[in-house]
Amino acid sequence: MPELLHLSAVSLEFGGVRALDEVSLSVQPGQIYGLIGPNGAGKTSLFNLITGLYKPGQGQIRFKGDSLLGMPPQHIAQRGIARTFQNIRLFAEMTLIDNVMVGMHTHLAYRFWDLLLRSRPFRRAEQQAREQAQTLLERVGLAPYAYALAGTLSYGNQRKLEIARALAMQPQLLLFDEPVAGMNPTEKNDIQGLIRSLRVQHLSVLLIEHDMRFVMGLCDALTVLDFGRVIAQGSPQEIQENPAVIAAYLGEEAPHAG
Amino acid sequence: MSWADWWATYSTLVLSVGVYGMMALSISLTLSCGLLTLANAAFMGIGAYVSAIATTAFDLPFFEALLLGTLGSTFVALLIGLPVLRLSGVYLAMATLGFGEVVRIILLNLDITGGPLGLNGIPSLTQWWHVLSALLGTVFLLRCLRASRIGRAFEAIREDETAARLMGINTHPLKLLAFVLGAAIAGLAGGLNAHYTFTLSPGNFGFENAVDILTMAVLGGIRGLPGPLLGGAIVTLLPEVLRDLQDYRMAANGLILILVVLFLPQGLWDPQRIRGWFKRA
Repeated sequence: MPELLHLSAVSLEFGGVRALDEVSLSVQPGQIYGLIGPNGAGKTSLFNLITGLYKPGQGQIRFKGDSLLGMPPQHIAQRGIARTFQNIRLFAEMTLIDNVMVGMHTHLAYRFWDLLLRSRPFRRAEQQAREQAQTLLERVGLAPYAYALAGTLSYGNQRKLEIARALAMQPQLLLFDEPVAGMNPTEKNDIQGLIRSLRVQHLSVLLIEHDMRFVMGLCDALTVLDFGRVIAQGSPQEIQENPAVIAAYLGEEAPHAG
Repeated sequence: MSWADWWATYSTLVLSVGVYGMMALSISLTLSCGLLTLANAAFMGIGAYVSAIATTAFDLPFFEALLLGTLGSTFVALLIGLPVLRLSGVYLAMATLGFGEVVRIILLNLDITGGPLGLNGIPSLTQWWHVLSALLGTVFLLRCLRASRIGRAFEAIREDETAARLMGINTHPLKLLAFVLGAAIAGLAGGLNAHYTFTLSPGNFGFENAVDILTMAVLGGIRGLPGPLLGGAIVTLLPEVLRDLQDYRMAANGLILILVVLFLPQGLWDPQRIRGWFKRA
């Protein structure tokens, strides 16, 4: 099966500091892929590279076989990559439903004339979008607040709204940056169930998360980054037994005094 | 005072309330998209001069003159919008302000615009219903935009342009649309304005007017369409209402504006605050 997303030897520098050093990984269609590593390992930088916010110094990024290099963020999004943010970036002064409908922007196909004349294609498209948005809000458990402003939501609920907004883009690949940070165990379970249900829709997920129980219970494959380098790749079980990973997380074991 | 006398005295003022309502809506369109542009007065000037020259020098019918004025400012907006909208924040404000000055200096030096003397004897063709229909048309257009994917995209760009791009929104063409549409509205308002004031001079469309127009939108609030209309009416009428204060008129004018902006930072028309009143009641 062809790879959905393939990164080969991607490097990124910030003024001489190597944030990412020859990172390679591939995400298969329908796969839930985890990206873990200590703080400052370059995980979010990698998301910014994939979504076009940063340009890599070296390396290649391919999505469905096409190179994403040099493409502006909006074109990458239009090709089917949606993301959420570690530091939540909702449209705080818009309602929840409008936030989700912004995600549908590129799928709302009506012309300028249609919206001026309030023609039938316009009204039908808007009506359908609103219903879909409502369904998505129900899916993340936010339907009762559909017409509240996004900025009034609690931290956990804002994360759920970001997920709904990303799903509204009808992407093939979703990048979740710490999707359950600040959530309680019940909410984490709900999100885990939601992400699993995406696999049934043949969506692929690349996710950054610090909660190891969440990651290990959900992901099919993992990459561990440390100081911008890949230190391990494999199944959750392989990762958990990998000495380099244990060292990166817990620190090097002191050599026994002879 | 009879109706005819009242109208003879105040018609200019009433028409100005409508025209500046359009101007405030015009700048609120770019503001709603997160763009601080100060070129609206210049676009109004272009519309005013083009349509006034069309009726005085070329004897064109009023409607054709208005159309020419609107198209003129639209075309210029398209030309300068393409490069200038790559800027944002204060840099965009400076660039559009500079453009406004360029327009004023050009109007001051061309022969066809009458140079520093301006244009005089412009026929009085603007009727109240011209202004009213132009204003209603503008409100209708902006209402349609707000209730569509374009209006939502504008709002998204204003709140977080990067996030909007990551939603797949092509932000550049949309910003250009807001800018050019704002210029078209300003051009039409300028054409209407020229044909009830009889005279035009380059100073009418300079820095002071640009700031007045911005004040209208900020004072009224840009969260809804009633805001700019309200702001336009207040800024136009306030100097007249305060006429008794004579020399202190403009000082009082300024003070009132400062107080409103200080205590109502979202402007007078803030749908959220108004909803809050009803909730408490």
